[in-house]
Amino acid sequence: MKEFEDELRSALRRQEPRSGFADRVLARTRSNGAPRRAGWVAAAIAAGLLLSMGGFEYRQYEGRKAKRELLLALEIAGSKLSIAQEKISHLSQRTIHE
Amino acid sequence: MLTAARTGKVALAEAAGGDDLAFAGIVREHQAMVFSIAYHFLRDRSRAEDLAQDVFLHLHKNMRAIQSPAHLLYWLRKVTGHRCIDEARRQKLRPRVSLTEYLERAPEPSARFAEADPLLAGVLRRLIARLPERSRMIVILRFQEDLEPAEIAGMLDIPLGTVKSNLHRSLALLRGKLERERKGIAR
Repeated sequence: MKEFEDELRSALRRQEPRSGFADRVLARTRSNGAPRRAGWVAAAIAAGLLLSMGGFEYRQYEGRKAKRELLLALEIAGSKLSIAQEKISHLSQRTIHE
Repeated sequence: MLTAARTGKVALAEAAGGDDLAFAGIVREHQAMVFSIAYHFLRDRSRAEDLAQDVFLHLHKNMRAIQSPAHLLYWLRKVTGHRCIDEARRQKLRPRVSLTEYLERAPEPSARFAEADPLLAGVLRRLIARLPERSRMIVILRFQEDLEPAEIAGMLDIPLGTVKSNLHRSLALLRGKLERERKGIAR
């Protein structure tokens, strides 16, 4: 049994791959790394675009909000003005009758 | 020994930090082990080299997970073992005979170690290659890497009893087939 196991060990001795194996592995790690770096650049560009789009949207939202507030203020001012106008005309009518 | 272990740890830390030279050193140290497991399993030098490269590429992406030189050895053997079995199962779905495989049947002049009986070694390797995938990997890890059945069980994620019975059956099968081959040659 021992002899047979030794024969197996001899048949299954380690062998070296073709020379330059480590260099070929390194070359593959570099080529695989390139798309990863490109991916990061793309992600950074996308994030920048999103931020600038977000900023633009936010500025638009702020503009719309300011416009709404101005219109509301004008509306309020208008209604108050018409009340005041009504009162003035009422008072002037009373003055004419007296 | 202590210095070697320390050097190993330093190289691991450097490789994990992105040092290509340190990583290349690790590849050179373990390339024969990884390549030979794949080669003895697949019996095709080019497929074995591709698989070994894939294992080291996977290692490169996972360097930070490696905690020690012993863990590195365990990780490499485990990943290589599983990848070989997966590759052989995929290969079953698309059988082919490559030129490399054909040439492998001839004696190997590039073998690093002189063998006592190259003919016998060749017959044994051919017989091992005919074993079912899991049994083949168990035999390779036991006799190429000198691993104990418990270590093999942990590596291949199978019960210890399965490894022992598998090993026992495979050895009996190989011995029987080898005897028949010898008798055939003697006639």
